[in-house]
Formats: sequence, C-alpha cells, structure tokens
Amino acid sequence: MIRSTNNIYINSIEPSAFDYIELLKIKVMRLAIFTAGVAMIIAPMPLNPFIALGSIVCIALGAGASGALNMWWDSDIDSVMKRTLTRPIPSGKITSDQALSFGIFLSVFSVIFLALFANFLSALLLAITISFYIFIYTMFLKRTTPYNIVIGGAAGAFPPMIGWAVSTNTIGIESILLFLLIFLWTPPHFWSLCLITKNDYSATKVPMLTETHGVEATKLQIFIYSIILSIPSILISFSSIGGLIYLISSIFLNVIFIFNAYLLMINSKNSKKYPFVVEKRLFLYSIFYLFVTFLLLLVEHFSKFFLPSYLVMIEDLLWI
Amino acid sequence: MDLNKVEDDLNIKRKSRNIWLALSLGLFIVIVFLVTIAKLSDGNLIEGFDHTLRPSLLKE
Repeated sequence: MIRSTNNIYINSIEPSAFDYIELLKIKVMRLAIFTAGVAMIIAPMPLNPFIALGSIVCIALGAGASGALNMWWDSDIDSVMKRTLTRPIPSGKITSDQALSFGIFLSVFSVIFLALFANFLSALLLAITISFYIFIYTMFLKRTTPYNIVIGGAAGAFPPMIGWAVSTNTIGIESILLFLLIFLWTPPHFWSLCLITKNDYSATKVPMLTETHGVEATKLQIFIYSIILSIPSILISFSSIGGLIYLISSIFLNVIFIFNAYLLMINSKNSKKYPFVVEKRLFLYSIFYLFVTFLLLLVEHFSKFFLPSYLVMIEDLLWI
Repeated sequence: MDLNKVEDDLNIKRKSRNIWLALSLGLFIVIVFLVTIAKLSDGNLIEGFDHTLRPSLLKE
C-alpha cells in the first residue's frame, strides 16, 4: 500500500481487465468451448441457439475459473519456469488473493447459471470438472506422480460430455467416447510439449515423466498412447455421431499420428540449429488432429443435408 | 516514485476494468433475457394478452 498526495492509501497492485482475462488461460478455454460446442451441435436433440449460447458462456467461464485457480495454486512453480514467468501472479500484476477470489466467483457463477440455462446434469458435470482439475490434478496429482497428466487429463475431457448433457440431459455412449478421445489424447500432446520444455521443468519440483523416467521412456509412452488413442477415435465412427466420412478420415489421421509418434521414438538426434523438430511436429500435429477430428464430426452431422440421398442410404445400410 | 503518475496509472486501470465489467454485465443481461424468452416460449409463439383475442384460443 502507498499513500497518495491526498492521504488516501492506494493498493499498489491494481490489475487491469486484461490481467484478469489473462488468468483465464484463453488457449485452454478455446479447447473447452470448441469441443463442448461441437458436442452440443452433433447431439441428437435440437437445442435452442440462445440456450446453447448461454451454456457455452457458462462452460467457458467454468474453464476460465479452473485456469485462474490453477494459476493461484501454482504461482510458486510459475515463478520458476521461463514459460510461465510472465503470468499475472509471478509478474506481480495480480495478487494471489485477487486470483483466488476471481476463480471462486467464476466457478460458482458458471455452475449456477449453467443449471439455470440448461439442466442440473450439465451443471453437475461442470462442477465435477472444476473440482477435479483443482483438487485432484492441481493440488494433488501434479506434484505427486509423473502420471499426473494421464489422470488429470480427464478434466479437459469433460467439456464434450457437458455439451452433450446440455442438449440431451443424458450421458450417452457417444459422450463417453468423446471423453475417452480427449482423455487419451492429452498425454501424448502434453508429453511432447514436455520434451520441448524439459529444462524448464527441471527447475521445479514437479515430477514430470521426462524428469523421473527420462526422455526415451517418455517417447515410448507417447507411442503407446497414440496407438490406444486410435481405438475410441475409430469406434466413434460406428456410433450415432459417426459415419463413413469420419471413419475414412479418422483412419488417416490416426495413422499419421502413430507414424509421427514412431518417428519421435526412434529419433535420438537433436540438431543444434533446429532443436526439437520431431517433438514440435508431433505437438503441432496433435493440436491439428483434435481440431480436425471434431470438425469431421460436424461434417458427418451435416453431411446428411448435403450428400445425395443415395449416398446417405448407402451409409445407413453399411451401418446396420 | 511520482505519486501523481501512479495515481493516473491506477485510474486508467480502474477505468478499463469498469468498462469491461459494464460490457460483461450488459452481455450477461442480454443472454439472460434471450434464454428467458427461449425457455418461456418453448418453441411456441409468445402471445401478449393486451385486451385482444388469443389466436391459440380461436384455433380451438
């Protein structure tokens, strides 16, 4: 606190609106909004666009709240890592208490209003998502086990389930498959990032797989997970949200993912001029993979409206 | 430390926060209004009963 010229005490940390927005981890929020939005659209029940809009806003705020609370708890780690040094709390733009209050307010607000806009099931799933991310992953798993991201990745896998629940008020096999897709995608995605930022994590006490088991073991795990990931990804083709277009495209996408993971596993050289080329390629491809997979689900959903009727009939016959 | 400069900086940040808060509240009001209309209408026309005949009753 500092004393101003007219004897009023001023709190020297006055964050701007952009500092609060930075707390929300917009990049992570984008994933939640996109996957939940796609699940809402492809669900079999029609949904009023205004209710969909309100629900998406609540899901986005819930994801943002998780990000804010995660930054509050991990501010000690963030202040040590180069990648996270510029975040609002380590850089002194926001205090821990301000971040905590903001996170709690957004959590409660988003859950209550999702219950009012949509239904109790989707609000319950949102509450579980936020709680899981904060209490299970952030406060417990992250600093305890090298497999933190395997279990903690469930938090990022809930949004499509929430989106499905907003539309249908149920948890169906389709939403479970979408959950499994993101759940199994998260480890190879995150571990490929860890391979690139390995030196950053070594400064913290976080037991990342690259630190506890080494680079080669991490690459092997990425390869194994890329194979397992293909199972729910292709199984979706045979559910009510899948189809022939999705099946063919999904096979290609998964083959390329597994191939990239294999190249990463057998690659032991690291060029000084172009470091981590294979790792970066896999990391960027994993983002592309998830985005295109959900896009294909949308294409499959709307294909019945623009495909010739005989093709739709053939597709229905194949899926009996 | 130039306290006048600090106060100016703080006022600018507060103003930016207030503007964003006002916009967020406005957006929230609009969303609540739209969702209320959606839920009340439930896919049907909302009819105003301002001393006029209700079309739905006429159909019956």
